[in-house]
Parts: sequence; structure tokens; C-alpha cells
Amino acid sequence: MSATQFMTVTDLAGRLHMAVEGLKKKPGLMKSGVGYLKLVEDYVQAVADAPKNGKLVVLHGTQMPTEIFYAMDIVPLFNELYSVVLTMMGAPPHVLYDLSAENGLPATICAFNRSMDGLLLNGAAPEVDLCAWHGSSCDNTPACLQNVARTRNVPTFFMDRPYKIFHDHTVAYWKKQHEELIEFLEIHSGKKMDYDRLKEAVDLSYRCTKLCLEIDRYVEMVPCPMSNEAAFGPFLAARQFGGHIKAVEYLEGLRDELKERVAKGIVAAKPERFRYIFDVSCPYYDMGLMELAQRKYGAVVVGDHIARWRGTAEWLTDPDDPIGNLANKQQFNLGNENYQPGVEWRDQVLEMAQKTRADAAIFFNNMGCRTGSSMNRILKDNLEKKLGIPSLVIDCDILDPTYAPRAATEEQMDRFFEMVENSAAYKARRNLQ
Amino acid sequence: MNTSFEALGEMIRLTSPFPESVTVKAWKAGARRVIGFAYLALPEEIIHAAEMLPFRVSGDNEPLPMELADSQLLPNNCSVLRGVWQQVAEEKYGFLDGMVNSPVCDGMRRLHDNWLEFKKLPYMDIVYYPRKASEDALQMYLVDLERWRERLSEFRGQRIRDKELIRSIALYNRTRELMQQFYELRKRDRPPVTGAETLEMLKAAGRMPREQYNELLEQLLDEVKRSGREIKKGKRLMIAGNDIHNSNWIAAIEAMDAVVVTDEMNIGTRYFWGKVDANLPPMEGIARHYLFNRPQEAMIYQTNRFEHIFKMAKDYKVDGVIAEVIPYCAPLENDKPWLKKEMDKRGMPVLELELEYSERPGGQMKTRVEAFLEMLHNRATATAA
Repeated sequence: MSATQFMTVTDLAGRLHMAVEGLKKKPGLMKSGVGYLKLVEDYVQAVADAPKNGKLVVLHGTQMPTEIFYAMDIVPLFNELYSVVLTMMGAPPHVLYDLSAENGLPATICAFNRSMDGLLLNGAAPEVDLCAWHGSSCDNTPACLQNVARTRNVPTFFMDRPYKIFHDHTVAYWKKQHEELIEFLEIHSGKKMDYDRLKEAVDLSYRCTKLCLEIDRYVEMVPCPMSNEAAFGPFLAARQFGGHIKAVEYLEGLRDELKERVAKGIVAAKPERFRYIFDVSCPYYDMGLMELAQRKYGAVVVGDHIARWRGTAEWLTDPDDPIGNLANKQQFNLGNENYQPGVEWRDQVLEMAQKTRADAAIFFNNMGCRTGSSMNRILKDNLEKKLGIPSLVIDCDILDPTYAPRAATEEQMDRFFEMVENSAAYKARRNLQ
Repeated sequence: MNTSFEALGEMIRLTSPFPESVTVKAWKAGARRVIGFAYLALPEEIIHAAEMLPFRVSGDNEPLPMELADSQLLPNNCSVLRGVWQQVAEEKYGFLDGMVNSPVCDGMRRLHDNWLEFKKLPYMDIVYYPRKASEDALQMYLVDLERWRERLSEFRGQRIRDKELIRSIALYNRTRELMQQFYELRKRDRPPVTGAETLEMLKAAGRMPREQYNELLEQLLDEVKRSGREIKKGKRLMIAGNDIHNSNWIAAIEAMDAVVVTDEMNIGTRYFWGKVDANLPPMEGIARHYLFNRPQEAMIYQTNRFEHIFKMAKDYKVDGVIAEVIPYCAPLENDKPWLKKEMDKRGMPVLELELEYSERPGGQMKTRVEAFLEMLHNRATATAA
């Protein structure tokens, strides 16, 4: 397949723009659902515009400190988000997978790697100037970035993220890794870090964390005021716009909208029959499944472990030490338990299930991902035994809708929610006995 | 496995049946403890210095059924993790008093978590192994190792003393020297040992007391040197990739016109490469060795792995490399196309092979190796012409 046949970053930005305009006309959606897609459009547009704006683009992996990129006027591009957005805008991932397989990458590795590999081979991958990643949260993420760096022969930086990060010596090491990242960016951008600007970015990012936590409290309400179309807005804002004013503006808007909905008694599903959580990730390959769940079963998504801050996330401990604060942030970062000892992940999922008063959990088992699949039994058993919450495992490819067709998944969900409804724990929770 | 070397036969006898062998039973009969470990960058010297038997958790020569593992771990996990878990679920590792691991990959990380959650042992630990070889990383690693030493000392009920560590370092360095000498013999045009025999020798290191092992290894080395044995095979091969613990795989390759003369595996060359600097304080010597001396692997980013493989292939005069990968081993799977490209660039033929850790060598593997050997033969003929 030639590059002209596959969506480029400019094509993608154009499609996103049309999607935003289309969504605005759709009745009954939360404003923040449109705002969510607008954020994505802005994000991709910034990448498309970077060359003409004379900005460098850094391709990065999960949980990287975007605050540093924003403070240095470098445009961040998260590889996984790019693949997700391409799929959401109708690009066929299997075309990319085929190219990648022809080039020798096994089909058993993560969808995000295969998709990016295909884009590189196809020539449709966005132009990037630098690559940066760290060892969190799985084996595949760093490998993907390393693959891009090798293919494009661009300068790269790897941050070694310690496993047990709650110790002084590991936080100190991690802080040093941030300092080295800044040095790397300074060398390759030819610009010095403006530490006042970094401090502002870190402050904005902390404000964003606090807004996410405030929004969580609304989502925890019964019935839930947050509808599925905006459910992942906080995750996107905090992950991709950490350190940017857009995240704060978006989250303030979302918080205010939720407040208004609560005041007016507007809820996601009426009646709200089920509240469910994701214990790893949402179904990027078919986000319509959440709308289906909400409409068909009155099932509202109330939490995704990967989009959850740890505890009260008080990571800004010294206003004059922005890098130290960023190193602290990793301890509380969204879903960073993926990379932590499993007991921490387990306990956080249990805590989330309790706080959100969940009735069920759905685990989308992305076939290329080990980190979740090897934790599944631990999470499933604990949710079931300690809280009486059943889990559904849906095997899928996180990008390719043809792997788990809608009809088959819908059938699984039909049976699952029926089973949940008939369970003693559900009846007890809902006072139905 | 049959062998003409008495010392190797003794190693195999002492480490059978696997895993709870004659040796393990004898050790436990003396009210002594056994600590399991799975990843080989975890300094065994520290466990040894605590007067406990470090036991490498793995599979062996028999295929592993996966029913129990598959009911616990979803099938999109590597067969190393599932294979070990199958044995845990069958209570085959019930003799372990503890287990220590390193979160070097998704599989190892979650092996620890599942063990802790479902089959907790009296002592469970996990120690980070840095992904960067730098002085900063060394300082962090050293603190982590010191803390591990403290926790293990607490389990022992007595501090692990420096002089105990020094003694253990000397013993393990001796193993490294002997293994290096053993591998030197494999550089001969007609090597005296097969790859399958070598793997049995390597496996025994993680299954018996080091003092006893070194004695047998010295005997084996002496026996091999004196044997005058010469293996006359057409092609010399190197194995690169995931650890193999089933010597039948290698025997199946060597049943053809080939001999395996070296490897790039954790259990193989990476295990004995270099030595701990005995002139340094013991913990620093250990940390420096494990972080800097061992050839880098796929888990280390921006690694020199390909260069190392090529250099070793040249040193051992190999005709071709078998690059094997176990499905769902992300670090090696992601390296796969790059390894092939790099070897192609250097004119080193590579056969890419997918292995299931738990299975016996199958017909498909044999056919592919046969075709590879034929290609090597044709290549050599064309070059000669």
C-alpha cells in the first residue's frame, strides 16, 4: 500500500475537525464529549503544524512528563494515542499489521507497536525529530519507541524508571533521569530550559490532577452524572496535556458541566441498572460499546483503573522544585500501578470498585498485552471474593474491531449483565432481595 | 540424557528428578533452606552467602502440560511464565522456602505477583535490575541489593557477613572461570562436547550446592580435555534468544549435520561472562559485575546486543545463528526483525525460530533447521567455487 492511500497526520487532523463539527450537531451529548474530541483534534493539529511552526516533535511513550515538553515548546506525540485516533477515524489497522508482519514483527506483540511499525513502513507515520520513553509500564511500549528511533534514526532518550518508586533513593534516581531528559532536549533543540516556565507548567499539571480528583467525586455519585462520551476526557487531558492550560480549561468545563447536571438531576442512564469499571483499559477498537452498554443495559462506566490517580495524589511538595515535583508525580500517576508490584494494582482496583460502588468489571484483554493478562486472575478473584463483583474478560485487539466483532461482544455482554443482575451480591447491593 | 562423561552423568543424576531432586532432598534433610530465583541477573552469591541453596526455577526436558497454568494466566502470556506456573500449581515447587525475582519483563514481574497472591512462600522478594548501565543506576542498584541483603539476613536470623559474601564470590568466580574454559574448548574446529551436553552442564549450576558443582565441573573439564573426543559435524551453530532448558531441542538440532558451539542466552554465556572484581567491597563488586560485565540483553534499552552476538559468532567460527523466540516474549520479539537485519548486514546467516517453551521439539522445527543447514551448505559450496 502506498503512502497516498493511508491517512497522514494532516489527513487525520482534517478528519478530526469534521468529526468535531459533526458531533456538535448530535443532540443529547455532553458538551464535554465534544470538548474531548476537540482536544484530540488540537493535539493532532499541533503535530501536523509543527514543521511550519518551526517546532520539534518528540514521539514518546506512556507516562512521560509532558510538562517538560510543553515548557520547552516541543510538541509531544504519544505513539499509542496516535494509533488509537487513527483507528477511531476509520483507518484499518490490519493493513498496518500486514505490513509489519511482512517485515518480521511477530503478530503476538502489542497492537500499538504493530500499528506504528506499519505506519513507518508505509511512510505515513508522522515526522518526528526525537524519541523519548521510559520503562513504564510494559515491555512493548519502550520497544515500540526504540523501533521508531532505529527506523527514523532520530536521537533518543530512555528514562530508567525504578520499580519500587516510593523510596528516597529511587525517587532521587528518577529525578536525575528527568534532569538528564532536559539536558537531552536542550542539546537537540538548541534551547535552554526556562525554569520559570517549567514551574508554571508543573503548577498547571498539578491543578489538572486536582480537577481530575474533583471530577472522580462526581462520577462516584449514584446515579452517575457522567455520560460515556465524556468518560475518558480527564484521562486524555491529564495524560496528553499535563502542563498545558488546555487541560485545565477542559477539566474546569467538565467539572462545571457535571455540577450543573447534578443540580438538574441529569444522569447518564435512567434507570441506572449497573455501574461497571474497567480494570485495565477501555475498548479503543470500538468505543461505541460503552454507548451500547449505557443505552441497552443501563450500564454506566464509573472507573478505569488506568485513568485513576493514586490516593489523594499530593505530588506537588515543594513549589520551588519543579523537577522534584515531577519525579514525585510518577508515584501517583494515572494507572502507574501497572508497573508496580501487583498488590498495589490489586488494592487500587479494589479501592476504585468500592468508591465507585461498582457492580461489575470488564477486562478487555488486548491480545498483545501481557501486563494485564497476567494480572487478570488476581484482579478477578479479589473483586469476586472480597466485593462480590463479577468480571467479564473480552479477548480483543485493542485497535482492530475485526478481532472481536460487535455482535459477538454484544452477546457476551448480554449474558454477563444478565448474570450480574441475578447474582446475590448485586441484589444485596441494590436492596432487591 | 545419555552422556559418556562421568562427571556430567553425576550432575544429571544429582539434579534428577526435576525439580525436587536427590540433591534438593538431601539439602532439605539437613534442615537447610532453598530459595528459588528465575532471572539470572539476580546475584546468587547473596543467597549462597546466607547459607541457602539458590535454585533456578525453570522447566526441564519433559514437556509441560499447561491446563492449570492456562486456567490461571491468560494464554497471551509467554510459555516460560505459564510453564513455571504450571509446576507451581502442581505443587512441584513446594520444597522452596522462598522465591526472589526481578521485574525485568512483564512475565517475571507477574510470576512474582501470582506466586505472592496464590502460593505465598515464607520468604518472597523482588529486586529491581536497572535498565541502564550507568554510575547513577549502579548507586541505586547497590542500595537495592543492600536492602535485599538485609531482608534475607532477617529471614536467616543472622546478618550475611562480608566474609561470607567474599567466600561466595570466590566460589562463583571459580564457576565462571571453569565455564569459560569449557566454552573455550568449543571453539576448536572439532569441539569435544555437544550443545545438548553443555546445556545439561549449565542447568546443573542452578540446581545444586555450588561447592559440589564446582568439583564436578572441574572433573568434567578434565574428563573432556582428556577424552580426545572430536565431534565431526558439517556446520557450527549458535543459539541466540530465550533461555532453553530442554536439551532435547538442542539434541534434535544436533541429530542433523550440525553442532551447537555457543549461545547468547542468560543461562549460557551471559551467566558466566566476566568476573566479580574481588578487590572491591563485596556488594559493590557484585553490583558492578551484574550491571556492567554481563553482555547486554534485549531488556536493556539502546543495547549493544547485536554487536555482541556477531562478535561471539565470529569468535566461535559459527556458520549460522538460530535466533529463537518464545511467543509473547515482547523484548525479544521486538528485537527479531532488527537482529535479522543486523546479521544480514554482516553476512551472518540467521534462522528465525519460534519455540514453545513447554513443548517437545516438533517436526516443523526439524524441517526448518534441515533447510537452514542445506542453505548453509549450498552457500559454502558457492563460496568455495
